[in-house]
Amino acid sequence: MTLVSVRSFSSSVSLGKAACAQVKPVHHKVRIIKKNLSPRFPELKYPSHDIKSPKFRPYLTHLDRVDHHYHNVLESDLLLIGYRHGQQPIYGNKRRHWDMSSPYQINRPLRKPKGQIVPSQTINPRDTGNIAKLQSISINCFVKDAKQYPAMAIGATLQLQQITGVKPKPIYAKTNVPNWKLRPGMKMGAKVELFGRDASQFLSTLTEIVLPRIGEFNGISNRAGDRYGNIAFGLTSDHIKYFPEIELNQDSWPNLYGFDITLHTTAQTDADARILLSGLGLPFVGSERIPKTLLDDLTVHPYEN
Amino acid sequence: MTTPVIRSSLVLSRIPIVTPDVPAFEKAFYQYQEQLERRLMWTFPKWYYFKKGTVAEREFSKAQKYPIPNHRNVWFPKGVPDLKHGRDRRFKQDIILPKKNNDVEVSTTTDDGGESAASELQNLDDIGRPIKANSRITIFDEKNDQTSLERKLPRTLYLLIKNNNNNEWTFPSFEVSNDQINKGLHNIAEEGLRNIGGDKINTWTVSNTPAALIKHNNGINEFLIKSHIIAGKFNPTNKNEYKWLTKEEIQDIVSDEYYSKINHLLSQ
Amino acid sequence: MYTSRAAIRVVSHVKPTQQVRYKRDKTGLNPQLERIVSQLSVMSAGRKQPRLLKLCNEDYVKHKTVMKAWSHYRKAKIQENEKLLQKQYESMKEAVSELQNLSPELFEIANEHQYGKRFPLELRVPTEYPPRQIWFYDYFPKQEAK
Repeated sequence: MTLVSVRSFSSSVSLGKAACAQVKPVHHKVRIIKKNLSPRFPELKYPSHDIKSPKFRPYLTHLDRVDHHYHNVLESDLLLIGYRHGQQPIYGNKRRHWDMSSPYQINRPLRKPKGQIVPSQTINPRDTGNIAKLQSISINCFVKDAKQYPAMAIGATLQLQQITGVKPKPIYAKTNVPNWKLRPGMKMGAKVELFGRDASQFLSTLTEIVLPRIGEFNGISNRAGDRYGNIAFGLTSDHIKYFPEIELNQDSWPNLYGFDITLHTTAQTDADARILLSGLGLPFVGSERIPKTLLDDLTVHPYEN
Repeated sequence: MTTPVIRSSLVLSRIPIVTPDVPAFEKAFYQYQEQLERRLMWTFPKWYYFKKGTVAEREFSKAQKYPIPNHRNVWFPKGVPDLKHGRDRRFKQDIILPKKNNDVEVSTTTDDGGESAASELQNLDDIGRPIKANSRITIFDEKNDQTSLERKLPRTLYLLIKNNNNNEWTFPSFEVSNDQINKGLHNIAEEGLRNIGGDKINTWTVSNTPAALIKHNNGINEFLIKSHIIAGKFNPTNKNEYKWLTKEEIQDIVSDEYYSKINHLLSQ
Repeated sequence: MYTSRAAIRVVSHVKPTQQVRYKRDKTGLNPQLERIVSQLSVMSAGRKQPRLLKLCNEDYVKHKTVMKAWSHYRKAKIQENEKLLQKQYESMKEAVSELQNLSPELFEIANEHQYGKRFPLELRVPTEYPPRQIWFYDYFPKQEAK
């Protein structure tokens, strides 16, 4: 009797097999989404933008005045401000190829970029395709005392929800610091990322109501930024009381929680992002540092890799 | 061969002060989406905002209209109500705010227009005064005073000046002489504006870079510099005629050739 | 108003009362616990969610039509905006390259980089209704220090 090898999905081990298969099994790659197999809840199969889905939430409920201002005034002004005749791309440090001096290099991943670990991005000449735009606003509220009083994390979550109108996600401690009695997995606060109309609404509350009333706030530091066009600044717990949602309901807020705000823009550099954000009503203070490579954008740089 | 003449012109604009007028289609769409949003909203957590047993809670509860709850022996032709926290989950929830004393004043004062404006000026210091929105249409709109900065609030206005030589309306334009060259086009245009319109005007030049070039038939190269007016007033010293105009009004007043060169710079 | 299960879960979050076994009596929770319970009840969906929308086929088709019309409308607007920006870009490019030929000195100044440029705060995002004082006329230029 001969053994017939039948490839089945349930087991990868067949009898009479002399060696392991060279072909990788298919069923490890196909992700099974159970809601698509079960006939029980048909509405779960609709995408979230479909009105039949339980996740559906209409968001185009009013004219976005910040967005309109951007398209009507800022966009064309930013295009003109950014225009430089004969601007050349400034190539970033990319991963390098191996010189193939050794056969061991054949299937290796590419070498690290020169002098750094993460490759840096190429800065292209500014044109209509890459005008800086505010993409999203993320708010991160980490409460130090939450390790001692876990109820504070709940308060911080609700505070973010009241201010932004969007449901926040909890943040957990990642590290283990025995001296601080901090363990991974402890709930330490909340974060939320705002897009579209929610972001516009938060930004207008911030620039029109909250920031003008903070006495010691002169502006965001010109040194803030992560080099890739995202600018961050923080508000302390004393400043939060100026948000109208908190101010009108002060009895419910015996303690408030400060948070960090990151403004994510599509700008290629921080300097461009600052110009955009100043147009949206955020002031900046302090001296600004422009990297030398950015100033030298009219000379042709060779692409090294 | 003579060197070509360079002129620097200033496209001075007043950006919109109020949001644009929403077209009927957009308005209908936004209303539809808003109705959907209200229907899908969670129930208002009354207990969080109004503490139990307070006066505020009682007043708020009194102002609400509560739907009829389900009952065994009652037939509901429009379906059985599904009440949770005083809200029928099948429909949107209407939150009615209790009326305050000064809310009543609003309805009485709005009937007579002139007096209400006068009384409003008197109690500006009163924080508890009823909130009343200002009109989006100003008196300058009604008079159609095109020299005013306070008209057409939802639109961008541009400064145009009548040329005394050929009676044509153009942006304020200034010749660049050889001794001015080290100032740059943007400074020449801004200084020129202050020479003809007084220095009690605050403007913000968008960029040193010209936004466009108009090549005239007589060899003049006119570069357009963009700028926004922030405060103050254009007040011509030599009785020049000037107007603050929207895009459509500019199209009516300037020559077609000139408009075709500038129309892409003008925003709504 | 709240289920007892939710309350029990909350107790474990608060340290001072962690060891005390919870028992509901007539006086209710202590104010600190009550605040946490009401805070959680604001955020949680329990008993606050509306019924799922159930559209008949006709309404569903209507909704789809509305959304399709909106997306066409938006697409046309975005394309128009892109075209306008492209035109502006071409025109500034043409102007600067012509300036380079006409007057290299003026070109040098016009082509300076604009890093550090800031929009003035007075250029505000438009509001739905105008302020009481629509325009500020009494502007005086700052006297330069001598």
